[in-house]
Amino acid sequence: MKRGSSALWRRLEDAVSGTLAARERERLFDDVRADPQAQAHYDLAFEALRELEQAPVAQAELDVVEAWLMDDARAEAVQAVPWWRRRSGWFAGVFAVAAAAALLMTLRPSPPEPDDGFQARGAGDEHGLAIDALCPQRSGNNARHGLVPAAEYGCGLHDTLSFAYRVEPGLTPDVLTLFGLTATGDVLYYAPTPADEAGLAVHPGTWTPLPMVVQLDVNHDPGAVVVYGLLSSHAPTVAQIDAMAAALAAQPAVGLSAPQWHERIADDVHALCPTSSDCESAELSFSIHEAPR
Amino acid sequence: MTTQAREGDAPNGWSWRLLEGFRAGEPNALRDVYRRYAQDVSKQLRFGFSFDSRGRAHRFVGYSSAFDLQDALHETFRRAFEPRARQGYDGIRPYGPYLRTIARNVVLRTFRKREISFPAIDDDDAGKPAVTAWGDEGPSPEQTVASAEVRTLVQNFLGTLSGDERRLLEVRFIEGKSQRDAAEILGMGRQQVRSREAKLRVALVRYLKAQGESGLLSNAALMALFALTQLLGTGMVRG
Repeated sequence: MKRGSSALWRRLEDAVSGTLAARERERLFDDVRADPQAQAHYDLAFEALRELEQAPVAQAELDVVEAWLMDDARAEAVQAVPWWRRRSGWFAGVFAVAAAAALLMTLRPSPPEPDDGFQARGAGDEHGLAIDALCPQRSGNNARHGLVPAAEYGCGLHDTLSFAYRVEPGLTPDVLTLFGLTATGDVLYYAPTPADEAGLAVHPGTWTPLPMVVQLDVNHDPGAVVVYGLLSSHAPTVAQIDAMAAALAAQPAVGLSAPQWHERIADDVHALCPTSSDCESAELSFSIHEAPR
Repeated sequence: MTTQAREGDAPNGWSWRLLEGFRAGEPNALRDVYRRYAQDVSKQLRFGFSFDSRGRAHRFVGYSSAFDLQDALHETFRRAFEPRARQGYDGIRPYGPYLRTIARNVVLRTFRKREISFPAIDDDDAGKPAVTAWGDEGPSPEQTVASAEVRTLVQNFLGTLSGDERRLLEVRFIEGKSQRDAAEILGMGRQQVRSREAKLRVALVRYLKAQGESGLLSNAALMALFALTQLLGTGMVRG
């Protein structure tokens, strides 16, 4: 066997258990195409599964192809949202929430200290960026300044969504990017947007609310949203955000011990983050409910 | 796969909701359509088919290589799920024969690339195959022989499993029960059945890897599979 055979077997294990990420699948198939012995190992594994299942084609094979097709569909869905639709949705959202934004700015709390109970979300607490998404308080939950963490309580479709971030002092990258990804692969641009590609300059040290809120029912639908935050030295273009979103959509779900998301899709963020230490990233997920929480 | 249209369904037997979602490219609808037809198409690719070309009878003996089969299965559905193909599907023509035509074309074009001359067939001509196919004819003798070594390996693997694990495999794959029915019979949740199956698959792959590292696997099974893959590289046997 060649030196890479242990990686081949590991990817094979992931393939048959349905946990192989899209990028790893490409690597597996590239290896198999290039190396007849790798193909013999691949074929042997599935031939054995056919024997195990007493079937001419193993269910695991159908599952592998299904996952492959679903990755194709996600990539197509991300590309299929026309820029003008994204743009008009964003404009509509901004104008619809102008009054709410002004209200939030008036009522916004003084920046909380790091030990105030906000959690650095995403891949662990030790790295330099943490983000939070917030929705209005409802009776019965433990509100903080009239807002509650969306990740914990979810949001109603007719709510407004606010963001806060915390950046560790002393970091070089100083532009914050925030975007969301829905379960159907739609990209939600929070900052920058197709209309404003400048990105957000950050102020390190404490939790800081972003000077914007989003009226969810303008361009969000009920369901899960994953919010990705990236701290880099310059803002990505919309096309780069689309590429990052497509790569993330193709990734399987991860736990808290996973690397930061910009490290998980290193090839797709290379232009922004030539090395992983050039950027910091964080992520969180929340649900939007049709009815009020 | 034959789908009987019920009252209130589209003529091809799908619900109108499924047809609408499919044409819009909704992931859940695409998944549903794939699951309805994947097994039939994969059997066609596994067992092959016969056809006429330039007045002579030929036979594609089917993919023995799992990788080649999965590649062709993916390519078949990828073509069928392209936006233009989806949006052009009216829900009147039965979808199964349409997919089988695409699968046949995927196979034949693969062999055209290998400089074996076959007539071009247009994917859009669903229901009007440019070749005459006689359908599935079961596994070839070569496939049967190559499987014998793997069968021994799997039997040895089964000997390493607990009684509960063997019972799960028996219910699912010998008795042919669905995951839902197996869950009921075994007194566990469907998700438990699914996750235990996944673990058993991984365990089998690890077992094969261990056999390979200890040298027990290296010759017989690998060489048989590799030789068969090479043999089937040409894939066509003139009838």
